[in-house]
Amino acid sequence: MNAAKPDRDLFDGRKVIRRRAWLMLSLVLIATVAVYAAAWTAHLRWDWTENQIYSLSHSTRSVLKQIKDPVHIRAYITRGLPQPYGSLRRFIGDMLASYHDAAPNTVSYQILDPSSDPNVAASLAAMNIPRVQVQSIEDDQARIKQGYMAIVVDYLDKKVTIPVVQSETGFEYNLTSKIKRITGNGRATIGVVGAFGASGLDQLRRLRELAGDDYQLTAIHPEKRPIDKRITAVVIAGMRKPPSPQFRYRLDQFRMQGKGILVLAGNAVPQLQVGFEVQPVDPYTNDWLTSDLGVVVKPGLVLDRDASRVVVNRRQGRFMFRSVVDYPFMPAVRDLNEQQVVTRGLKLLAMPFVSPLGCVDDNKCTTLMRSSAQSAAQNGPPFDVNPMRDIASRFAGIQQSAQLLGVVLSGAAKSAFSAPPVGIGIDTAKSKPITQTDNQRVMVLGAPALLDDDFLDGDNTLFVLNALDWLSGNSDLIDLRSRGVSERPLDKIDSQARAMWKGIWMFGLPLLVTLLALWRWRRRAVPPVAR
Amino acid sequence: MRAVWILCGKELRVTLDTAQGAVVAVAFLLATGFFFGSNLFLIGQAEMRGFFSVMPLLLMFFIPAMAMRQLADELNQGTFELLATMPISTWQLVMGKYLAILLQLLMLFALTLLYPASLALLGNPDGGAIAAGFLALMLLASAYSAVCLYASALTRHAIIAYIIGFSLLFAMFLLNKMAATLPPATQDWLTILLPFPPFNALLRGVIGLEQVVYFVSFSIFFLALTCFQLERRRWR
Repeated sequence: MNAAKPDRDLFDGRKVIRRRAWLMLSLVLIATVAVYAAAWTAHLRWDWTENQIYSLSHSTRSVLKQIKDPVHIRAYITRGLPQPYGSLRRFIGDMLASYHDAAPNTVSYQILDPSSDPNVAASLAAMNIPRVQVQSIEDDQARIKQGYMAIVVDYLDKKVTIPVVQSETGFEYNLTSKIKRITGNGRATIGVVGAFGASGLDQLRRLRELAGDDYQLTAIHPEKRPIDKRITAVVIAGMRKPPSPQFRYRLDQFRMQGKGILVLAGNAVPQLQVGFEVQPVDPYTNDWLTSDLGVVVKPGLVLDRDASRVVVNRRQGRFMFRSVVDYPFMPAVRDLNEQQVVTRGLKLLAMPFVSPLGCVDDNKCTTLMRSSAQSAAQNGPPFDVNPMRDIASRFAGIQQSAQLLGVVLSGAAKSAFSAPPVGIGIDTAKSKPITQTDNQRVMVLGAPALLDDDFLDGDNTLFVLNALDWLSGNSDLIDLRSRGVSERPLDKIDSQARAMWKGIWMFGLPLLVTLLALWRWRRRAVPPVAR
Repeated sequence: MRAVWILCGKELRVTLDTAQGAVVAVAFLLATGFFFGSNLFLIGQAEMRGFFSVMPLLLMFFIPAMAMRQLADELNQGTFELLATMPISTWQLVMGKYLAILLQLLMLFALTLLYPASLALLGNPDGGAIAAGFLALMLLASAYSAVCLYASALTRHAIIAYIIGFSLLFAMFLLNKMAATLPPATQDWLTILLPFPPFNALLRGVIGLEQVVYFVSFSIFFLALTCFQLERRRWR
């Protein structure tokens, strides 16, 4: 009897320990799940990125504040779509909540599941909103699942849609620009000049695609008739012949109205359909820029050691070889004016076949961008733009310095014309010429081919769209467009420096740890007295 | 808490004074240096997304090595029974060991700050996004450490503890990789349960409370499991 009692106590003690352990584990499990669920519903976030690219921007808040009548946003998102669409649904919900919080009196939103109501699906079909097709695995079989990821914005009797939201990237810009357009005056009209050898609207297919959502692009002929009053900005891309006095006068009067002009002018335009070749423009083509705007297109083509890369296809016999080379005639432009709204936030542009610019009066020009200090201008024509030629040999003996590639003219300006040119058919008694403006808005770039389909990608796209916004007096969304999608290029360093950095990264730290370990062991090995 | 720090200090000293700690550190830094530097100039961007995205896989090999002997050796050498007689609870014992692994990892990650520092010399990286990346890395490492400490409590043999720890982490990794082939409802559950979706969310540079709480809860749960496993020895 006496021996059995300690055994029983021991058994009871074990039972207590077991119960306590199970209880503790269960409590921890419940507590962790509860705290996680609470954190999930609280949904607090801190955006640590440099420009708070995942938070509602100042531009969006400013657009929302200007809205006077209610805007209703409806998100049609099908439940049960596979990832990443499940996470995207949550992201859209969070963003719409942020829009509502920024303007609680005017912006409301609703998230609907079209699969739960056939009437909703029918109304989406009526709005030409397509179903998204997503591959899903069920019962070990790949199936195509259909669903909606669409946004519809209602304002008064107007309606705009984002038919498919594909990712988080660009969502805020997309939605804010739609809201701005529906609550504002609609799309602005931009005129594209196709005369005197300039690239016309039919040649700028990519520009039409990119800007078509926000702008109505239309061909204009200032050499023949006055510029339409609806037009807010004019684009002149790569003229090859000197413009007529009528053209210059009408453009000047357009400028005097405070409307925007983008001029892309250089000494040569690329002929990529026949390989890496350029065709020089008429030598007097750009003289009008000096007399009318005070901007000089200097001779030559800029070549820069800090160059963008291009793919070159070469045929040798029956074989085709493809090489990626640094191409000095496409400078990688990093010296971008951060003070200018058009280039703020951008880090790297590729300016193709660019000519150096200058200003008659430096006080009237604002530098927009410059090439690197390791650049120069190749004299010509003819221009040798062969991409396979060794870069070092191109720069041998050439004076190198940063070249001005783009300028902005803003603020007060006087007309370049004291009177209309003869034969233009303008009755000065009826319509008096405008002689000055307080707010000119002109941008001149030395790259005549920048808008060509071949060169309009990456940050160049953002830059061009920013430029169109600025020229149209529509700068609200520029910061929004540039945030978060910019590149962060590394500085150009030579191969020795690159090898040094790689060596430090790969072997520097292991060597340091080894030395520290050896020092510590040696210290321990020597008795304290001997030390 | 004092007992926790004493245990933690003892474990750290053991790590620093034995070859194992140095070997793991050197191998880890060689690997991170390679993954950081090998493609950086080719991509030409001052960012660390590539480095951070490879870390979940890399840590899978190193953290089990750091944690494998923490409890397995105590059980094997019989010192666990000695510790059990001392005025120290199982929870304190586990926390001491866990903090030692975390501090060791913290030292290693502190050394890798050389990478963003050099990026700042070579370009203009987004400091906030990189800081968020390091926070994500530390949170993921703390979750891995808790799993591997649990693995170390399951066996007396360090090598087996390594294999169990690695297998648990690798199983989670594979589940995450094959999630795309699973039904949507399962995918949603995996997004909530596995550590990789919150890690990737943090890498964007946005610190979400739910992600931080996820990693803390995940770690606490596995530490509780470790305590439970050690307590089991007292009632068996």
